[in-house]
Amino acid sequence: MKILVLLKEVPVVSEIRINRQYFTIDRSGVGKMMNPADRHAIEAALKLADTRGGEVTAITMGPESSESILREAASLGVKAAYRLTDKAFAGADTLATATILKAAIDATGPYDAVFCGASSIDGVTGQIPAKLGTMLGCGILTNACKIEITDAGLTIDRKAGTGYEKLTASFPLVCSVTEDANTPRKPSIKGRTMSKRLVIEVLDNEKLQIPAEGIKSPSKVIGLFPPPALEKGQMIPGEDPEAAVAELVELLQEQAAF
Amino acid sequence: MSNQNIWVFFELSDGRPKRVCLEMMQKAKALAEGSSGKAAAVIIDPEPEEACKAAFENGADQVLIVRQKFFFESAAYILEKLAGKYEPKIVMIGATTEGRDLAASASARLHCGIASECTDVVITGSGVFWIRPSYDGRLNTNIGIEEAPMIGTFKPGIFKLEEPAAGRSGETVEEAIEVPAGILLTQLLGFTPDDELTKANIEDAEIIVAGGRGVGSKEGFGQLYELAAALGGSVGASRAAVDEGWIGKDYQIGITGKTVAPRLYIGFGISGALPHVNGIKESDIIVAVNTDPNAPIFGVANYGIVADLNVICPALTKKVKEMKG
Repeated sequence: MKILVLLKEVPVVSEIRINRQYFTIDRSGVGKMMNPADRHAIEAALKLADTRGGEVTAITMGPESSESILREAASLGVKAAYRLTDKAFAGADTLATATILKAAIDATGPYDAVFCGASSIDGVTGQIPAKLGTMLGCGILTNACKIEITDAGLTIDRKAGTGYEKLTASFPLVCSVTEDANTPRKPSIKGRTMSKRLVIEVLDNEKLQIPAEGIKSPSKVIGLFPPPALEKGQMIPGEDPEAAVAELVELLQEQAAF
Repeated sequence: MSNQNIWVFFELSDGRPKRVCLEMMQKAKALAEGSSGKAAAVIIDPEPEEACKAAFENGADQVLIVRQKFFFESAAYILEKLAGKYEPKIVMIGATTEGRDLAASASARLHCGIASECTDVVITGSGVFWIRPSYDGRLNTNIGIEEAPMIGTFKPGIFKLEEPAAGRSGETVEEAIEVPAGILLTQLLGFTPDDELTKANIEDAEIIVAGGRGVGSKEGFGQLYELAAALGGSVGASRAAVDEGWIGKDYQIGITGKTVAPRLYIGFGISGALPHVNGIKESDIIVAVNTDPNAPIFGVANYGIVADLNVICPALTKKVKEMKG
């Protein structure tokens, strides 16, 4: 079985400083890491390979620094890795990114299962899995919090409002994984050695040959601005708690708030 | 050249439209009025009558109906066909579990731009601008999309829901679209209700009692549960309380968690960082209790009390219980 996991290098969002005067962001010195949910996608991919036999390949799109997350994946048991990069890929929105990933899958696949994190902590769109699955024309299982391997494919549970939905699809499929789905394994000593030896193949658009129209991003980031301040309300004196509660309840009752 | 029409995708639950659809419908009406377009609802359901009525009463000029069972794969296919025929400018979709899959899949089919989990949308002569929170809600990003059609998704509670116009009506258009078998590759096997998730389903709560770092401990949340029970409401939390492990992540309110718009929100020991505040700002009444008079939450609260929550919360519970007899 050929299994793919998609990985993303993200900034440590809490370390990003915001200039309050000019509303610019300062990413200098901000740490980078593997997107947290992606670890669970790797685990799901490895689990499938352990159960059904086969190898796991990892793909990331990003600058050279993102090779470290591919090596991290290799230390856990991922056998092959590709990094997608090209000037033409810069600033890709979710549609362009899914198009590029689809081209990389066509070039290196086909795969029986594609795993990825449910969403990234920097973009938080969660758009890629269902877009990619639609482009690939395969089953789409998103936001898995439990994954069961069946004879023909996967069955997942996911949180939906007041309960859990159970969904199933046959291979080939795309499955996005939340942090509830599993407990990621730790790297082994052998894995650490393998990760150093991992050969990462770089795929640019000369290799992928995506037409310019395909990687054009229909959405563009225009700019950043601070959320607007909200209106100020009324203060109730708190020195006498009983009186404060009485006044609050009266005000709430006037507006039939409960 | 597409027109200026704005569509809202209606997701139904037991025949009734989800609240987020009505919120978006009212927003679509306002947008359409400002840009000489029509506001329309798209309903894919074997029994669309109740949702259709709600769509008109909440601002739809037109309702497009496809009598079929809803699933994101077939719905994305149907949306592609409908958008091809009617060329809307914007399609608004609720950022629900299925809505997210639908929006992603439909944008791949239509090869169109999408702005997800937005907090606002502005239409100008040069394009449509979508506002979405970024960097944990500390900044807003302005995303521009020029070409129609385009998709925007919105979480529940982003737009205020005004009273519907009872009896308002409009044009109904039925379309028969056959979905080829090859489109349906994923199957929904079933739904299992869960007590924990039901308690945490704060997006639909009418009354929310929320706790933050000031609550101090997991045990400290006990008094909040009591107040919530007395009020018939639900408990929520700020990210700080969730990160401390005092309450589960499913209860997190804020732009990085769940956005809520209850009739009454009472925050205890919540400082009011922007991500949290942006997740509650459409609540009808916001009450804040905090010992720090400079807590930013007082800047947004309708009513603020500078006091110890450990005194106010039980006193309020007692008072509410007395009143409700």
